[in-house]
Amino acid sequence: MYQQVMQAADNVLTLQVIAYITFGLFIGYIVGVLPGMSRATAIALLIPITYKLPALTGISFLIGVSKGGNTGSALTAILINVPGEPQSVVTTLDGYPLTQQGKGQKALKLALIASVMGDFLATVALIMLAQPLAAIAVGIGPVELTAVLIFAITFIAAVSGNSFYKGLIAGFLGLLLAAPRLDMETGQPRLTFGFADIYDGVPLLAVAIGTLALSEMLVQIDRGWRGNYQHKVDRLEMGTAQDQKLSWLEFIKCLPTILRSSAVGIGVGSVPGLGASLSPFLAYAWTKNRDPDPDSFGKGRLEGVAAAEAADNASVPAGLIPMFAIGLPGSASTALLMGAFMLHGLTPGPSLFREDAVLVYAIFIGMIVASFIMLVMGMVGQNLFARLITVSETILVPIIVFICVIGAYLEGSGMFSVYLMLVFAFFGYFMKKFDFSFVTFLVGFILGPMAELSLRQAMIITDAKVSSLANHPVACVFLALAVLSVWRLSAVNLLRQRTGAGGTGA
Amino acid sequence: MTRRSSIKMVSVIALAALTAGPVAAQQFPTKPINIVIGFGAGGGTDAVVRAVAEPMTKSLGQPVLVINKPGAGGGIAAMQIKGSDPDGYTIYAGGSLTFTFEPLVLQTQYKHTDFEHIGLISLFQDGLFTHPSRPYKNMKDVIAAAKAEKRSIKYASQFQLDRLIFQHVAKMEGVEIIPVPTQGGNGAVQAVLGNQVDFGFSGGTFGPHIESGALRLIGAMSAEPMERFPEIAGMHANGWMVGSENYLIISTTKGTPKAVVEKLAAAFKAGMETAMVQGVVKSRYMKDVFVGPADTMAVLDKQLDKYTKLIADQK
Repeated sequence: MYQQVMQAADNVLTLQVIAYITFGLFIGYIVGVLPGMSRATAIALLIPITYKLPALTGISFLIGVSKGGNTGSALTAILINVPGEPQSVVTTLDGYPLTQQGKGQKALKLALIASVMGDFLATVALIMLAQPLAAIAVGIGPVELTAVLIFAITFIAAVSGNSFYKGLIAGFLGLLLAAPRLDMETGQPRLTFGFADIYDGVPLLAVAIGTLALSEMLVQIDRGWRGNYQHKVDRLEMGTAQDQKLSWLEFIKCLPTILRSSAVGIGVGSVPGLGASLSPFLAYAWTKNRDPDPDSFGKGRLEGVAAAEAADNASVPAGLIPMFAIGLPGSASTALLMGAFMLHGLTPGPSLFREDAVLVYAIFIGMIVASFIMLVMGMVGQNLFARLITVSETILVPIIVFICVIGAYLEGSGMFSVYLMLVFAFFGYFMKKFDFSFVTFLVGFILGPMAELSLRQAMIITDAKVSSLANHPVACVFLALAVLSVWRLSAVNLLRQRTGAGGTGA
Repeated sequence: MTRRSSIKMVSVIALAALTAGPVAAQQFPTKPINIVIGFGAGGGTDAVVRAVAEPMTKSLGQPVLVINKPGAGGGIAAMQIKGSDPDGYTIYAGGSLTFTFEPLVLQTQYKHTDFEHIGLISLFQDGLFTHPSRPYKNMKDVIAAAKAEKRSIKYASQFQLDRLIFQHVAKMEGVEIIPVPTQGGNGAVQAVLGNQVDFGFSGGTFGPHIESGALRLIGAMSAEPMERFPEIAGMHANGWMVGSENYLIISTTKGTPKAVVEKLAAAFKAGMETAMVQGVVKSRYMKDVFVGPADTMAVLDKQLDKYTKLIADQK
């Protein structure tokens, strides 16, 4: 094995492979920065480039794109409240308030460190624990998955909002919005009102960008219109030097959060189908729940950014765990990667270790190298992009609106998405004004279809007999945890009402 | 102007009008061509079309760009093509079921006759597979086991077509076959790997798992066996006169000049024959076929007829 690893290292540490990894990371980073260009689309576009490359170079290049995308998406999320990828929504929650406080640079630095650490730890997990983790993952059937999702949704809801009823309303609005689509059993349109554009569901990014980013622009315009508009010359440099730097103390304080969230990303990310969309939400909720001052989340807590970024980036290598261990892709972009393997005549899965162990080790080494290149590239990129924000608001707001429109358009449904985004901008504006939780809304919207599919699968497979739960102990544990979080939610809420303490939602 | 000269004039104009088409077609293409894929990135259609775009860019001398516009079983992209200018610069790529099955079950605003079909460039091959811990060697075993144990059969379903096909089988065999909805080939493979259902089906997604022994192939969902596994029975061999048939189809807007359609068909044909594209087709377990513009409509008519009957049978 030692010789194989040395041989692999020898293959990776060539100018061609390193150059392609860097190139891939760079493209991924740019794609991540641009909202609407998803990682999956980018990989699909780039696969033809890899036809003529050697297998190792081509695959390392595509993994680079995948890794770079997640790191880049934090940039717009923190600086202008525009999630570059749907799951970066969580990064905006505390990242953007930090920017507003003049701590944008600090948030970016922490986001980069958290994402590189999450990525690195998950890569190590992929190398060391792929087989046992995948064995657990494949044992998670629809029944277990339903229980996990019910727990995740209730837990996130319990932690996210401050008002019980407002949280519920927002969550159910999200679920309602997830309902229009072709029904998964009958194949017939459901609540689509004749719009063929939403046969596959309401476009995700149009809703996310509308409610989060564009509505924020409305809030700013509104503020200016009411007369408290101040011409801010330099929002980034408004912060003192201390606001821009990330101190050792702050990093050490965030370290447990990064480690815990990376574990969440590895665990959730390695379950095929659950994938990346859940892990940042779950890690964020967990961090908030453990914190002595949960109410300060959503107003600019560094831990919030660290949790979201570490979990988000950990789920990229974690998504490769089921692919390498059992040949099953964990997400859309992993499915594309698998296609690239097959083009080179390689079959991802346990047989690959037997047939071409050197290649597998080389890919792993390449991934670790990519983590470090990403760190350097991220540092340079931040300094460049951060200057964007030093532009005055009269110029910045139109640019952001433009980026929002492009992002929604690129997602796939063309102008339909753009109009939809405009509608949701007003929706988000009123949610902000009336203090409804974005987190529960988006969790309902994003996880709703996933929960529906696994629930309906579970119902058919168990013949809808409650007694069959006895055969699924793991599911029972998660259902019990779900009950516990609902109980906690109502208890905390009751306490709040008694003490009369209010608060603003996250 | 004399009468004769005006006749001359008219005939010159008429001649010019007549020759203008072929001349324009000879120059075609003078700007980039867009291929709109009716499905998302990562599927078989996407892989093959992106691969063939490269040799086509070389042979046509203009960039051939590929865009994904998924939704409504390819219907969103088809609608876009229907409304484009009939000049051959906007091309649909997707499954032939978009034209021959979806209009039967969804209220689509298009029919297969609303397009100029450039050709069918390969055939999807769906395999039926089970978990190796189950004793079934073929589909007949699955049915026999369910009958002996007096239980229903559950399978990983993806589309309405597979539901109709297995409803037909259930009626013929006198067993209950219940579809469990899953998403795409990966969802089906996952459900069977986790041993949640009796069997599932997919296109090329099953390939690696058959080779590694994690799944066992027990049939083909098409009427005839798959090209790569001729010894595995198709639907007809089991006595079930149904089966899925889905080609990778290339179509453009109705009214596109015939010469342009011919030129595009030739470019697709040459592109498909390159070793690189052949490799992609093989890696996706698809069958290499080519049906040109002259014969495509007949194939579609036959498919439509077959699926219309299948649906009528259920009622």
